[in-house]
Amino acid sequence: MQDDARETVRKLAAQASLPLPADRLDSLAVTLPVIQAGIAALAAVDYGNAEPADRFPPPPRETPA
Amino acid sequence: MTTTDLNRLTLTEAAELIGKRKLSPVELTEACLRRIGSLDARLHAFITVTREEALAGAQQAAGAIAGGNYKGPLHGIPFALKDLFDTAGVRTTAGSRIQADRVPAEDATVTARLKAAGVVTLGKLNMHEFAFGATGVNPHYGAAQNPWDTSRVTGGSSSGSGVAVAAGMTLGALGTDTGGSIRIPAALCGITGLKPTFGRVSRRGVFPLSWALDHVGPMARTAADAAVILQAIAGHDPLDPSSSEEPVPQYHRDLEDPRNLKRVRVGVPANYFFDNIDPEIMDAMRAVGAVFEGLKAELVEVALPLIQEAGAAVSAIMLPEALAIHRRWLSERPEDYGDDVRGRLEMGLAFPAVSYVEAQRFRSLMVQQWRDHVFDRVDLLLTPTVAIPAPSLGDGDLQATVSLIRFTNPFNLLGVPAVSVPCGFTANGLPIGLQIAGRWWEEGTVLRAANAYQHATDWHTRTPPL
Repeated sequence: MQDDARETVRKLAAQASLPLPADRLDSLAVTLPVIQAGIAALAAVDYGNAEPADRFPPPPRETPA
Repeated sequence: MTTTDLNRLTLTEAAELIGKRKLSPVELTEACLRRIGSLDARLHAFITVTREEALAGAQQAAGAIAGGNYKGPLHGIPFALKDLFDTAGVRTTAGSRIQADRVPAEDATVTARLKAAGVVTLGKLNMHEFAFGATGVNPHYGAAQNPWDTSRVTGGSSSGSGVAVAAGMTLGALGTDTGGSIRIPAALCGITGLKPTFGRVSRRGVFPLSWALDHVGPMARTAADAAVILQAIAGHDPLDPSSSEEPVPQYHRDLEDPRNLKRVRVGVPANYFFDNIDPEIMDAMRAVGAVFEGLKAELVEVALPLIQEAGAAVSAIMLPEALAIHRRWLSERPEDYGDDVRGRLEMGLAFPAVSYVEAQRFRSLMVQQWRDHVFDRVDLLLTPTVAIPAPSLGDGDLQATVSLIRFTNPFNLLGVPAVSVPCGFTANGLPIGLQIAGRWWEEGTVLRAANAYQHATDWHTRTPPL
């Protein structure tokens, strides 16, 4: 599994044109499962019709008083 | 007035004395500089102390005030800036080796606004490297040390801001907050720190960590002090596209009657915020509820939608954005980063584009649901600021960071205002922080509640044993 994770992060780094030395690949491979758990949690959300967020939060007139 | 008395003044107390010409800005600035001189070698609050500039600024303020040209409550007040805010002619390192020699030609918008309000600038404050960490441990400029127990971290990333205010080196400071970087050091150092609504304060001239999540805000001893600082820095900046045109209210009006919070509905979270927290922090939160009942607020238990996944969404936005900002330096001079920050930047590689977009959709969904199902029922929300007391300096960075940020970063995603105020101490004498969050653009209500709480308690008046 660790070899798989290491190969995964090596490919990701290469795709981003940011090749990493071996020790950095090892470090990133250790954290990969935690990151992937977060990605899976976001993938499981039902977004309905929600579009990506606007830059600004709701103006006061749209917030219930 | 003795030096010790001067170092214990709040900003608003000092402003009143200066306005009445009972205290000279020069005397006050000299007291702060003496305090910095006696403590900073140990606490590492400052990266750069601008002693001569401060003394010249204090003389200038004193002369103007004596001549009848008093500008208002920040005139002649000693003040310090996190070293992330551009200061014309004064180096601005972002807590990094990479920018160690950078001297900006212009002030950040907030720097300029504070100078226009008359502050006396003491210098630039230590911070977590590039604001990318929650402990305040900096490999280039020294680990800021908690004034309540110097074997403990200060919290970060606005570490020096927390220390300098708590230790009486300055009467106010600016911080930035992307996942809790104002509120965490405020909680761990026993001071008051406010993250305003996203867009309320300009970020022009402030080195970014995450464009979607970065906020600028005040750090001081009291909510009243924070209100004075916010008044000076809030408002539209035509040079910052992330700055809102929402009008800025007069915050002092919200602080006029601190005796009660009648008709204010205060939410107590039914989920998430009391999971896996330190027992002493739980006890402190129970006592907080009793204080708010005593202030005649209506306490309402409220369920918080989507809170469990909020941290994942923050990571999926913050880490890729930070990587995009640092990509060139990370490629060309990776050895110039501290190990922890370099590792966090590299983590940004692991997020696919779809996760970034989902996180932005999540943000939109969470804002809708909190608007319709939380802030329709309550005006404010009370939570602990952090789940644990200040960790030891030797504790692992990753574990400490996870424990420190989980109660603060949801409010960066939502963009709502949130303040941390002291609400007790552990048996070991470490400060505990209460976080009060409110609706978008309603910093006044948040500050009103914080001010009322501080009139009903004395936690914010305690000073560290230095």
